[in-house]
Amino acid sequence: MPDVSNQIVDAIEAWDPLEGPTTWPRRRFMDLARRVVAEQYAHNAPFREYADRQGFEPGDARDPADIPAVSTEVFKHVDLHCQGPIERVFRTSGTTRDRRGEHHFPTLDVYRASMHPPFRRWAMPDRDSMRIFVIAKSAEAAPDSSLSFMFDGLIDRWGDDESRFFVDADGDFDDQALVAALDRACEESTSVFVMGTAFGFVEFFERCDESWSLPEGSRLLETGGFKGRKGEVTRGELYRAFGDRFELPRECCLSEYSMTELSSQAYTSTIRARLRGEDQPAHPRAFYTPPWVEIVLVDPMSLQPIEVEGPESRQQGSSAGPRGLIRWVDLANVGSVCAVQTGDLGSMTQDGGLILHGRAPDADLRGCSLTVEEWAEGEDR
Amino acid sequence: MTSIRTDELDALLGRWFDDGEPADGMVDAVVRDGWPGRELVEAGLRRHRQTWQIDSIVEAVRSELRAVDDSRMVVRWPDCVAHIWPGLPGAGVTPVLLGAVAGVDQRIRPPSGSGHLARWMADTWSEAFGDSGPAFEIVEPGDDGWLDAELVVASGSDETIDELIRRRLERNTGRPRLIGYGHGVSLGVVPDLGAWSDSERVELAYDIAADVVLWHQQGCFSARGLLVGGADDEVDDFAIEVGRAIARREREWNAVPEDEGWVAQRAKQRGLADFQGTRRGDEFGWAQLEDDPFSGELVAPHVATIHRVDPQVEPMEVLQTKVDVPAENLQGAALAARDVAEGDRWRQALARRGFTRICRPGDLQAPPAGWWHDGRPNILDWLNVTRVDAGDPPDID
Repeated sequence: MPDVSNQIVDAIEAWDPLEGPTTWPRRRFMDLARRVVAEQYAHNAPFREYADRQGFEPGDARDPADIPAVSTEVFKHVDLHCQGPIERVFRTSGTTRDRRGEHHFPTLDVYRASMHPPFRRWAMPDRDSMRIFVIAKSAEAAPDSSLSFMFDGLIDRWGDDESRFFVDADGDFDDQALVAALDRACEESTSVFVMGTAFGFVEFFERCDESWSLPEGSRLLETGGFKGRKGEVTRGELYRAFGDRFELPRECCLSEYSMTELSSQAYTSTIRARLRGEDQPAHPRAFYTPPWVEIVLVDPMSLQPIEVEGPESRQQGSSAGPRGLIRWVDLANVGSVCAVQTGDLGSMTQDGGLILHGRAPDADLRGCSLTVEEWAEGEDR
Repeated sequence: MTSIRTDELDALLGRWFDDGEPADGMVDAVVRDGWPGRELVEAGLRRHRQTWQIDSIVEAVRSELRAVDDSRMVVRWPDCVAHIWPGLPGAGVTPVLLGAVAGVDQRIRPPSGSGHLARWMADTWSEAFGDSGPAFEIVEPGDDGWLDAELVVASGSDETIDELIRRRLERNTGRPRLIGYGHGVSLGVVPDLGAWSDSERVELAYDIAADVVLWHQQGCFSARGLLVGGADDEVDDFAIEVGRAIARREREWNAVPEDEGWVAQRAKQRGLADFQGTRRGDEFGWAQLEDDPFSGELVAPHVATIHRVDPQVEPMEVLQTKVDVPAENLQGAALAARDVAEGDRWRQALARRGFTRICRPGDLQAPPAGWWHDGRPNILDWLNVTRVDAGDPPDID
């Protein structure tokens, strides 16, 4: 395990985040992938049993789609880690109806290594430090949250002394402290980086009436989560609110896409393009991944990979290809499984970006028993 | 009860079905309400036809009214009954037909966004009954016309029923009268595979698959799981057969849902089943071997969980250890017992455990009109009954 982890860390650290390509040659990617999968096959018993049933030989994998993908649902039922002590367990947010998924990490070294280069490339290509405000709990307050762990790591590496979290361990959001912190940053003309889930921002906007003209260089990061306990917000609504309340153009607002079951993150590229004077991407909502991640789209029915290589497979009148379920092949997921099948729908752009169409909607249950949601949908519109 | 209107009911059912086959207009309405697979809709409506037999409907009403067939009991029917229909096509129709037999005016609140079937039925109703019959009035979602009805009949979760009562309380000064049917789940039981030959098992699986696939497994009479008695290998082989039969039914009924939510749920659950090596079947749905007790949860549309049981263990013990569903949520059991004594033991145990209907595989979705929904009488609760213990009973009909 340590050998492979070290090889992946070395490969990540060898990547030039500012100028390097976002994909490695297929041969190089698969060479590393075979090593990772061979380790997982050797030391992760549930995965080995699964792979054997699929007739999979780690040495035979020639393409990311060849690696047996594990559904995110499996993380709710099976301990999916290579044998040995566990450094940390991250858990998915749960609902009363749903089990929580668990991602066990024998080591967080690879996670830490994979966190910063993509952030450098797509969020901080112009500087080494910023004042970071996070509308979320810290890792100390939420030790099983991968999102809090990431925010913690980002503040630790990229934040200045005034950087901080604004939600405590009990979930209490100190919105007035954030108001004061933003006021002070504006007075000092200090640019800020405000981060949070989509609904974290929505809650902040609901709690306070103030608006700010954030100093030049300021930026925002939203990590998704457009559905909350209080309802749903669209990305368009949220970004309009960013403009109204922070006077920040869309190009200064960054989206991040990842999940508990992964060890890497994808980002939109608008900030990078703006700061480097490059053309804005054709799809401002397209996510890009670092070279140790490959995205495979699969047909939702057959679960077989969708061919997205050539422009002929793109939908007419659009540069985005056909929709499919998103499968991540994340080589930083060394300690568990590297091919993770999500329930998210996406399509690929011609330049390798990923358009996220959101989580597939919940199954519409239309049986003999009316749910209160079905009832209210008809009555309250 | 004013009079039993069998002629008009006959005319109504004649518009709905022609020689047992559902009318095109009814099938069209259900498909437009968002139910994919015309062949599946036809198969489902054919089973409804078995429920909606005039003789059975009339007898269902008569048999319940025997409880108040006493000269000292004066019966008053509600002036109007409102029915809150759930999403499953046809669910909620039987009580309306029972009400029609009694000549009660009725208001129907169809499910939100899918009122084509209700409107089609309303049109045929007025053709059959003319101006003189009991009313069949559509109340659109958002219209509070249902609140004025003397009685409301609804199938919904506890939360939904509470919400309906709250809305009635807001509007009415009196105590709301509401008959609420709850969430129900059904299963199949094959106590001993050893009693069935290989070819019989194929047929049995095919019958069971009908209970699984019909209405995309959304109904309270949809089989979500099977208790199967036999050795591990034997049960595994039968699960393979059930998986094949599900695929066969899907092909015959063109029953492959395209709903994005259903497809995504299926993808996630299939991924889990593949990882655990429990999937048996390779089409949209499948049979899935489970070590855990039957929980009644829908894994994904057209997926039947298979729970192995020991044929030597007493039925009640099996039901206590292998069925993890509260008694109030148990609905139908499709029982395939060959041995007469064994069948008796199982029927007794299933009834004691809380199931409200026991039938043979393949018949789950065609309950007779006289089935007591949730184990309760269908129309006795509609009545106000006055018992006159002194003097002559008044004539209030």
